Amino acid sequence: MKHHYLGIDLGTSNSSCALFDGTELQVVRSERGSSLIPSVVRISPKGQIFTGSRAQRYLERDPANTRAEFKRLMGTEQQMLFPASGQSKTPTELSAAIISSLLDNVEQQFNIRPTRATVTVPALFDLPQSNATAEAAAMAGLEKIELLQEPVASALAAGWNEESLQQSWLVYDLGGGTFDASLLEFQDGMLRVVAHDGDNFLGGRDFDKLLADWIIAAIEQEEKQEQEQEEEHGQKISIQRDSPDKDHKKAIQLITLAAEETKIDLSTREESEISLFADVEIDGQPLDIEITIDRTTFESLCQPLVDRSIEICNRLLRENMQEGKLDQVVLVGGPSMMPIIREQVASRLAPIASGSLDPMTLVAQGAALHGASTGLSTEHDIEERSEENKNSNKFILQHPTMSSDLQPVVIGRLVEKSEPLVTAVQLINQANQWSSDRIPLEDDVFMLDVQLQVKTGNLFTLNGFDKDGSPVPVRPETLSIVHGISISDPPLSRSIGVALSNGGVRRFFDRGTPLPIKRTFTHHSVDTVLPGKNGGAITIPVVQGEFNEARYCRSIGSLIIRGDSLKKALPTGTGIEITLELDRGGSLKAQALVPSIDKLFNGVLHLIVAGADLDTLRAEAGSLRQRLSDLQKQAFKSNNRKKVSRYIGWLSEMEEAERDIASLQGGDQDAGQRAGYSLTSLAAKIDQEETVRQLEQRCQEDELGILYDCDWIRDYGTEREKSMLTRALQTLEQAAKAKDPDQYSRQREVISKLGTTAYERSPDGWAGYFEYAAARIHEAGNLKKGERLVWDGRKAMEKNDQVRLKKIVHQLWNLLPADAKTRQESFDSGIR
Amino acid sequence: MKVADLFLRNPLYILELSANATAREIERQAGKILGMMELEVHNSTRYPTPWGSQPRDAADVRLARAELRDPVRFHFHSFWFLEAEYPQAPSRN
Ligand SMILES: Nc1ncnc2c1ncn2[C@@H]1O[C@H](COP(=O)(O)OP(=O)(O)O)[C@@H](O)[C@H]1O
Ligand SMILES: [Mg+2]
Repeated sequence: MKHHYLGIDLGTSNSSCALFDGTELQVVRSERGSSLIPSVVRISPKGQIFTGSRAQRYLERDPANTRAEFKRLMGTEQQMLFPASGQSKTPTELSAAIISSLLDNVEQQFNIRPTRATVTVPALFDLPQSNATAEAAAMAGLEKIELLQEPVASALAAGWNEESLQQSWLVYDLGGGTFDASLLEFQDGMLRVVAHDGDNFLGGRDFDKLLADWIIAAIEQEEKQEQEQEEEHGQKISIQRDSPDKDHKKAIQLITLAAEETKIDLSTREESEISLFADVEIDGQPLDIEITIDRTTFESLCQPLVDRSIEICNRLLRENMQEGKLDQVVLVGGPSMMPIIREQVASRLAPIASGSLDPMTLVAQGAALHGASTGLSTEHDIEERSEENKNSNKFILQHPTMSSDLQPVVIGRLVEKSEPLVTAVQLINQANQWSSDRIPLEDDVFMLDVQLQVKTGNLFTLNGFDKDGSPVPVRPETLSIVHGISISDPPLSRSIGVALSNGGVRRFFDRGTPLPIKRTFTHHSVDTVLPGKNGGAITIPVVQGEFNEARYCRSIGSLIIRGDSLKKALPTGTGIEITLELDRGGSLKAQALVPSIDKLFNGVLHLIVAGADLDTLRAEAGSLRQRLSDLQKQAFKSNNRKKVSRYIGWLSEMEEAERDIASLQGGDQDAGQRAGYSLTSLAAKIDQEETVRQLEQRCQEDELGILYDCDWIRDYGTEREKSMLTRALQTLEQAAKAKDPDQYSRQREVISKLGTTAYERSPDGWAGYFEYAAARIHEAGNLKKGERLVWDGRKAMEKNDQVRLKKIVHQLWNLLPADAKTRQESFDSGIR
Repeated sequence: MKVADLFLRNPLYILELSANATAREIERQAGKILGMMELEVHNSTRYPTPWGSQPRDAADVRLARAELRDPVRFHFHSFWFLEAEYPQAPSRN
């Protein structure tokens, strides 16, 4: 049984898809034979939906009812109107229409309608944008999808096609309106993304614009000459880009379309003719153009744009690798077909990976390959389908579907037995006739290393034998493993946890944790919540950051258990099982289960604010400005000139973003997008700066505490604890120097745990805790119980009963509330 | 994190590897353990340490693999890894 894997590249200008069957990688074609479909949707007056080239034709004729470039608005709630039919659609719905027509093409060509696929998204897409993409796929009828970053897909496809793999690659992806540069590292068959950079406002259409300007200038020039020759004194023709006039708009549009055609023409020819006769009149004169342009002239127009893209690559390289270490560049996207780009990338960056790669479909090809590595085939449980052999021994198998290791492990477990019983198995590779030994089952399990043929699909037959060594039928009869590249699980960029009422943080996931991941921890409420509107609430704040103190972290949302959703009171100390779940794309789900009332509370959290929504952008800009001005004040205070000038640079970025927000208010959606991106990148920089500052501040605050810990360990620690302290102190110091908050926190915690252990061993340790708690007993939720515990504690101390005292201290702690200030600093957390 | 976790939850123990494991061994071993867990093979959810056996789940294994893939983190963990006190060879090879 062959598996098929479908990959979809949902592009801003063009979309495409590819199918991989374990051996062969095929680009899917439309009924007209094209491997691309324009990402354009038109709705006719009768409400019929057209996509691809059938819609693209109408961009010119009926722009009001034809939409392109809606990918730029993914993740926003923007309604796009189609006045002729009276319909309106979201960017997600339009994307769904494109995916749907790609699926039609697959069905046409291969006779299967896939229900699973890998869909690519730009590396810089954030959560809402990725979620919207997933939603579009679901609308188009895909039941299960995986999202994959476009540069990873490109690299996978390039790696599959390349004979020998180099270590470090740059993916240079210049699309219709965006530029993405990604640095990847390849080692031991594993692909790792090192870093990304890019410009969301640099792409093919900027080349079109420059050429259009050149054409307009040429028209005006020609017109002027004609007038001079004929000694006319008529009005001079002048086509204005930002003119509100309908004819000007139309002329600009037509000229820009002609410019794009010419640009594409010049990728393969030295010279191209631009001719345009249209029924628009500009200032009373018909638009009538016939000009020739040669490649050299065009390239001199483009040079600044090419420079901009290469400068971004250089910045990425400078920040992430030693000079001259880049091995290869993979070119992706339509504009990378231009000779000037191929030449300059090769001479200024690094050699271009083999010329046979198709820059237009590479992303889709890589997505299809990725399907094989995650086992996301278009078919459902295949074994269940084979009706014959129902009464044979059945195994469940575990093995990678794609492996970079030439000797992956296959594990099998016998789950249905039948006579004659299988006692040993053997695997034979159909690709290279390699055959394993006969392996006996142990506790119904076998495990064996198999041998793969390089860079291809390997189909193995599974043979079973009974105790006499005679063959017996087994299920499944075959299994397949593709030899290729594997990519590492994407790592979490910032630690995530839950803030506690005592100011601490329960870390659920550490930075670097491979996604997807899910964890559950049990916590307890610190207040009583009564049923009803005024019954109060338990707040469970979810925070992100590298510190174990909530006030140093950033709140990203909360789960709230409200009184009005309860039928019964939840007393203080109620157990709450909190589950956080993060998927591969970084989308976070939170859940709280209260077992005592058997009720589940769900929460949706927003990791990042994005999109061109005016209010969120304004709010985000306001808070960033505040944070930036705090940093600025600090820098002034400490007279740090370098920082002051850095922040002034950021401030001007801030101002630009604010201008863009103002233009958004005036209806300029693109400006809104631009503001969203610049704010996100500013937020990242400010985050980083704050983290460093907080670390410095924390190091100072910690000094005394560490001194105390060391004292206690010196006096009461074991030899091993003392040597652990030495190690931890060393690492702590390194972490402080390297400005690594993660490592610092870990080591600080080691020291404090060692200190606490030693302190508790000291003769008066628990008595000290007891006295501290006893002094605050009036704050106890249950005063009567508290006073009794204090009394019991005093007696235990008299008898020097340390065990009993310890128990009492724990009970007292549970009775005492966290102090108000701490609680406020931990985002009003209602749990401990 | 508890102090003891530096020892007990050391990724090298979780993957039943030694401090001189190669990149390839890390991948294979993690893949193997994840496969065994998926098939609910007896004992695949526990691993031996010098202080007795400890529980692990698939997330622990994937995290351990990610930690050990990073050369700097690998170095850190091998530093806390006490090979001499290892009671016996890893149970399954
Ligand atoms: N042969 C070519 N030479 C130069 N530019 C091209 C060529 N083919 C397509 N383009 C340009 O490529 C852009 C679309 O690229 P594409 O990779 O499909 O974009 P996206 O990833 O944004 O969907 C358009 O600006 C188009 O004009
Ligand atoms: Mg693209």
